[in-house]
Order: sequence, then C-alpha cells, then structure tokens
Amino acid sequence: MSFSFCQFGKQSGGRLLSLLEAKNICRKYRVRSYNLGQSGMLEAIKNISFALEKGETLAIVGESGSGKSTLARQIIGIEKPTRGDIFFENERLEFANKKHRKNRFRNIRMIFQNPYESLNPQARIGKILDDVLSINTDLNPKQRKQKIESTLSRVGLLPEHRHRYPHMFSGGQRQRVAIARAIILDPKVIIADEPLSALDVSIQAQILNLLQELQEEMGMSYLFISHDLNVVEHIADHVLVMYQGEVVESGSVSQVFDRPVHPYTQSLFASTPMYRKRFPNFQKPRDKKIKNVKKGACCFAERCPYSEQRCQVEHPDLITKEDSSRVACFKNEN
Amino acid sequence: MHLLRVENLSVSYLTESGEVPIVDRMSIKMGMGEILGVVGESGSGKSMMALAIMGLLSPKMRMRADYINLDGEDLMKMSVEDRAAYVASKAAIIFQEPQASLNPCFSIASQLDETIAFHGGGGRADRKTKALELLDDVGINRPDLVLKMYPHQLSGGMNQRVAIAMALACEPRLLIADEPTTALDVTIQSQIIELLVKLSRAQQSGLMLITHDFALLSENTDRIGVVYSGQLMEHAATENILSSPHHPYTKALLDSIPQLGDRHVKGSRLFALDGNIPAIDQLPVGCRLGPRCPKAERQCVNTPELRSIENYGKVRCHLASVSSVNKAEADS
Amino acid sequence: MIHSPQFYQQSVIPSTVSRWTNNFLKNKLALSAFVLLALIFLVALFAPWIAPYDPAIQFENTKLPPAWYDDGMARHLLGTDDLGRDLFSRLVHGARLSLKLAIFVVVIASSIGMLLGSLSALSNVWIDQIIMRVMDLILALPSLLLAIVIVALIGPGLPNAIYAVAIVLIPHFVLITRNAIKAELGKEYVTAMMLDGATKVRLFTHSILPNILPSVIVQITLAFSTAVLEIAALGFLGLGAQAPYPEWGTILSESHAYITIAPWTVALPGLAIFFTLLSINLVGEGLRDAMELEQ
Repeated sequence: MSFSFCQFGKQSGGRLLSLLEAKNICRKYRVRSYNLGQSGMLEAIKNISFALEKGETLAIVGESGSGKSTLARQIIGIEKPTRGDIFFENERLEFANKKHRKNRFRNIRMIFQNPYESLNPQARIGKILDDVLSINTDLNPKQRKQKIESTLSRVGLLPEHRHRYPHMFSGGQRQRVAIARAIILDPKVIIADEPLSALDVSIQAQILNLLQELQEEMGMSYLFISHDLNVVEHIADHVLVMYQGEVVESGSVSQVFDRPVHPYTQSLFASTPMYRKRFPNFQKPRDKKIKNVKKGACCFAERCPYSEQRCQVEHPDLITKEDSSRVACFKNEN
Repeated sequence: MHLLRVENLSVSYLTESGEVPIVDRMSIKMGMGEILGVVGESGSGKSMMALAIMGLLSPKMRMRADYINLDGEDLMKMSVEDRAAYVASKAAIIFQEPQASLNPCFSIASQLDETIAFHGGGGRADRKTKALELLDDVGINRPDLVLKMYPHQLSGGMNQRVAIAMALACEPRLLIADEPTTALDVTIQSQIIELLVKLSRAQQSGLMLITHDFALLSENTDRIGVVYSGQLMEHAATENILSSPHHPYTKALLDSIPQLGDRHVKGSRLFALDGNIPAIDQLPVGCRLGPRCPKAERQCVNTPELRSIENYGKVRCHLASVSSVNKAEADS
Repeated sequence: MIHSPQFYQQSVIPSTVSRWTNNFLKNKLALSAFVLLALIFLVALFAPWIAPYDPAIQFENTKLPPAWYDDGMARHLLGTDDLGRDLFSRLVHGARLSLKLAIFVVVIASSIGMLLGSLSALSNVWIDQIIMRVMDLILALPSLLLAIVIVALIGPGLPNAIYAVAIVLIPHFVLITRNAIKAELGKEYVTAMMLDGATKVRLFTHSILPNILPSVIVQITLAFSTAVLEIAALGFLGLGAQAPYPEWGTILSESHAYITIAPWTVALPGLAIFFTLLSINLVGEGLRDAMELEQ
C-alpha cells in the first residue's frame, strides 16, 4: 500500500513551520498474541501529521483504541516514535538529545486524564510544584514560593493549599492542581489528555472555563484530546478525527462540525444525541461488521455504512483539499 | 396503576461514629412501561437508590422506606427471602461494567442457561432456544457462536448486550440500567441505549436509566429525576425539565453543557456552578445546593421540602414557585 | 475526604508520618502489643542488670518449681532447670540473644532483598528473570526445611543458622520490593514527574521510595517474627545456638525431655516465644492498618 503524506510534508518544508508540527509519526508496539504464541507488531498510530499554531487549540477526537493517547505520548516525549519527526519552534526534536528533552519538557506540558493518579499521594502539593520549579528553573526558594502561590491562585485554589496532600482534594480541585503543575513553567504548548472525563458534570464546565481563561491570558496552544464532541466544538480551533490509529479527517472546527465528510466523522455525530438534530441524515456505523475486509484496506471499511468493494481492498490516501482540510475517503476523492 | 412507587427511601452507611446518610427520603414513581431517567453526579446516591430497590445493599448499609411498591406488592412488608425471590421475578439490573454481572470462568451459554433455569425455563432444549432468542433480541448477530464464548473474548459492547440478555431472561417488569454505557465508546453507547429503549417499548416494561449524562436522557426518557447529594431535587416530565427547569441545579447542569454550535469565542465562558460537591459527612445547613447555588437567598438556610408544582412536577427548592410565576409573567 | 475551603480551613495539615502515627495510636490492640514488645526489648537491652544470676551458673536445687508453688523458692522466681540453672535469668538473657539475632537477620535479609528487588524491577528483562527464578527456587521449599538444608550443608552453629534464616527471608523482600516498584512505575504520577524533568535517581527517591515504604515496613515486621521463630526452631533442633547458650529454642530442646517432671521448664520459654511473636505480629498488623495499606 502506498499512502505517504509526502505532499503535506513538502508543502510546509519551504516555509517557516508552525509552533509544533508532527510529520508522519508512526508508533509500533511489539505484542505477544496469547492465542497463537506469536509476537507481532501492532501499529498503534500510522503516519500522523498535524500542525499546531501559537495560541490555537487543536482537538484530537477519537474513540478508545484510536491511538490518540499514544500520539500524545510521542509528542510529549515519553516514547520514541518508530518513524516520523516532531518539530517545535522550527527545530527537529531528537528523542535522546538531553538539551532537546529539557527544552521539550519545559515548553510542552501535559495534563493527564485522571487527577487521582497523576499526583504523588505522598507529597504535599507545594512539594510537587516546588520540584517542577527547582528542576527547571534557577529561582531561589523564596521566588519559588511566590511563583507557587501565584500559580495556585491563578487556577482558583488558595495559596494555603500548598500544605495539603492530594487526597484532601476533590477531583475538580486535583485537576486544578494538575493544571497548576502544567502552567507553572509558562509553557508554550499544553497537551490535555481527556482532562474532563474523570470529573463530574458540574465540575467539567469549571475546568473547561479555566482552561480557556488561561489560554487567553497566557497565549498557550492546546492539544486537546477528547471523545466529547460538544466540548471539542466549544473549545477547538482545529479538529483532527482519528480512527484506529489513522487520521480520517481534519480541518477547522467549522469545516468538521458544519460539513463533516468522512463517514466515520458522520457516524460519530449520528451517535451523539445532541448532534442528531443537526445532522438527521447521517448514518450510524454498521452493527454487523463486514467480513473479509483485506488487511491494509480503509480502516473504517468494516463498519462504514457506505462501504464498497474498493474500500475493502484499497486504502484511501489522506487528501488535502483546497480549503486545507484533509479527508481519507474514496467517496470524497472525485 | 404504577409499576414502582417508592416513598421516603433513605439509605445510610454505618460507621463506627454513627450513620452517614447517603440517600435522603427519596420518593419516585414510575408508570407501567415508562422510561424514567435518574441523573446525578458521582456520590449523589443514585446508584444506592437502585441497589436499595433491588435489595442489593451491602450489610454495612441500612435502608428505611415508608413503602416500596413494585408491581402491586409492598417490598417493605416482605421477609428478606420472599423479597429477594419477588424482586428477582419482577426486576433486573445491569451495571456500568458488564464484567460485574458476568462470571469470567463460565461460557455465555452456561451463564444464560443458569439464569433461564432459575426462572423456570423448562427442558434443556427449550432453554437453549430461549437463550438463542434472547441473544437475538439484544441484537447479537451470531447467537450460536457467542453462546460458546467467554466474557473476555467479547468486546465491552457485546458483553453489555449479553448482560442485558441475562437481565431480560427473567422477563422483568422493571429494568434498572445503572450507567449502562459509561464504559463504552460513543458509537456503541447509542446502540445500547437504543436497544434498551426499544426493548422497553416492545415489552411494555419499565426502564430506569441512571446516568450522569443529561444529553443521553433528553431523547429517550418520559420523565427525569434529578439527584444531588442524596436528595431528589426535581422530578418531572422530560419536556418540562428540558424546556423550563425549576431547580437551579438542573438549570446549571443543562447550562454547563456546551450548546450546539457554541464555538470558541474569546472571552466566552460556559455557565459553571462554583465550588465543589459537598462531602456526604460535611453537608451544608439547609438546602444542600445552598453554598453553590447562584440564586441562593436568606431562606435557603432552611431545609427545603419536595413540593408539587402544578402542571410541572415536584421540586425541592424554596424559590421554585416564585421563579415559575416570574417566568409566566415574563412570558405574558 | 473532601475538605472544601469555603466551609472551614484546617490550619495545620499533618504530615503523612504523623497521620500514620495518629492512626496507630488509635488502635488499642496494636498499641498494647507495641507496649508489650517495647517491654520485651527493654528486658533484652538491660538483661545483665535484670537477670539476678549468670545464666550458666548451676545451683544445688535442680528442677525447682517457680516461686509461687509450695516448694518453690523466692530467690529463683521462675524455678530452675534440670541442671539447676536459674530459669528467669536464662529467659532474660535468651530474650537478648533471640532479639539480637533476629534484628541481625532482618537487617541482612531486608537490605539484600531490597537491593535485589530494586535491581530486578529497574533493570532489563534478563536480569529480572534470573533473579526471579532464583527466588522462585528458594520459595519452592518450605522455609524451615530450607534453613535445615543450608545449615546441614555449611555446618551447624549460630553464625551459619543466621545466614540460613537470612537466605530464607530474602525472597520475600525481593518480591515485595520488585512488585511494589513495578506497580509504582506504571502509575501516572511517576510519568508526570518524569515529564517535570526529574532524573532517575530523583524519581526513585522522591516518588517511588516513599510510596513503597509502607509495604516494606510491614514486610520487615513479618520477617522479624519469622526470624525469631526460625532461629528458635533451629536452636531447638540443635542446628542453631548450641547447648549452654541461653537461646529460647535451645532452652526448650534441653528441657523438653522433662516435660512430665518439670513442665514449667518447657512452658515458660514457650510462652516467651509465643508472646514475642504475638506482639510483633499485632504491631505489624496495626502498622498495616495505620498506613492504610490494602489487603
């Protein structure tokens, strides 16, 4: 199968790059199948490319297993991509390069999904934040204390809260602490991996507002990973829709939310009660999977309501349209 | 004729330092074949209420109720054994994690068979036919294949379907679904909800859909109960709640979901309730929403009671009737 | 628990250790066991001053019953044994010996075990596999049997018995350290701290170590009680401390032939072992509850 995205790479090769760019990122994992006793390679993400501009929010939408968290792990630098390049401020980030790592960890910060797991239970909040500062900055203890207090106030907590342990906070407050930890170094990019999904409904809106507030004040870019369509529509500037490790559609929020083209994107809308009124004609995915779909065919061919013979054999290229939105579907090629 | 009438159901948790109330005087009514949505946040007691109705509370819990009338019989007047048998024949429950109701050591066939046999399923061949029928009913394509499988070989959505099939084996008059789709993907979620609603309509059985997701309830339910901090805050028909919620909490919940077409605009914010959900052992005085409520007034330090409001439903708020009058004035 | 700031403000947040201490102090049973254990330790520490006689001196009155019997004598509080040695003195010195040995054994076993466990968890699959299979080998045999085999191989005697018991205890420390570290490594806060730019050493000392400490502390108390018991068992079998030494197991083995004539010479060292083990185990259980460990 030849489905390279060279086109996309070449286009941006000449000009100045965006703040954060990912080009053709692949990540394979070695998996052992217990049924057969063989080991094989699982391609968790395939040829993912995107660009994130300063002060913008790029939302990555997908179901579980779509590889969106894997993508985050490659970008942040927890894992080394099997293939592909990540550019930050016009510089290619080397995974092993110490200087690059330090720079990356300072400027790209992460907010995890579950605030109950991302804070060390044995450390006071102040200690957690102080560690971040003492590792990454040259501030003296007094300046660090000031910075910690101002950051805590900024995320809607009290300066006194630095004496507390994580278990003394509710989920929403913990997520505020996690946000404080992410912004305390004044980063340029924040990767938020499902930051709302572990929170209660009435708390979700608080955190969403806080994220927007901070972005407007500090001019950060967000890579916002979510499965929640109305949250994405609310916060995103650009949207990347992923299915089984591939980008099936991407574009600005109005392109994706007003005129979604890919059948998978459409079926996402059809499955979400709120959007069914907006898009009454969209089809849900097939209940019954199509059998005998060839390996390497379109990733959505099994469940696609419009699946044709060609879809089950060939893989559609991710084609960039005139309005710079991208879709990978044969239906849309002509 | 009501399928389920619960009056003043309280559940509390026994600790060394006394009882901690988790559910406080909850009263709920469900008609025959009605779909009731119960919405609330984690720890609000919505699941405890369901478990109490089913008689599945852990021994550390205590429940009290004036009556729990299920299909014409009062559960509170029965002995423990009678009650368990009666509830098993009339009601069934499915949980968020389908794994919770499926045993990983046995095949789907043997688990379904056991349930069917327990409810008087007849001979071996009859039971097998019944099992195949049930799996077919819940939209499983190859029931014969699935019967031979074990829970770990099936996906989460399929497992949830099997769990529903098992719940249906006793032909329940009341099916309680406690967050049935929270653990599932978006596209699978809507399939499962549709299935539950379809089955409920087809068999004229009641469905109690417990969830934290308001959007899920808006399309499918006849009536909605809103639970906060162990109390029923509002209980009314779905269209009433969606069009003119009387309780500030319901209104806040609805407003805090981003609306359709609500795009990123600089400075625009969602409506959000301040503060945190109070811990169950540190409840505020008076109205439990009080400290977070945007409309709180002086009288809110008095505990509000659930009151009926004409042409609407029941609301637990001092300001409910006032605000509805104001709304009527504003409309006219 | 949620402490909402709008309702009340806690002025001083107790540290984790002081919270654990408070939890422990609330547990009456564990606290009384702790007092008993502390008494035993004090007795062991000041044995030469507490014991009225040298444990090896033989008096004329052999098999003298304890003082509260009609034919007992006040100067031999717990009576004498078959050779006329003062039993109280022997038990007091025995406590000193048993606890000293047990502490020694636990220090050796825990340090080697934790080292191997950390190595196993943090290094590559091969080293991990080799260490774990060796530990499996040790765990496959009943501990006392293994200790006997080791002593039989390297010869009886106190030092060898100590090594044997230490070797028997090592796998438990390796397993618990390795599994705890592995579990910690998978947790998100370790990843989060790595993303803060923390070095591996800092990750280990700041994030992993404090979180595995509770399980290791509980394991230490368990190992301590096992050590006391096994050393006594080896002594009883004549493989550990040798005859005139006032070690509890040895005292038992010397006197068990006279159980019908002088039952107190068997019962009293037995009770000493029993109460020591009971108090250690209760304290261990109390610590586990206090540190909010699951299980």
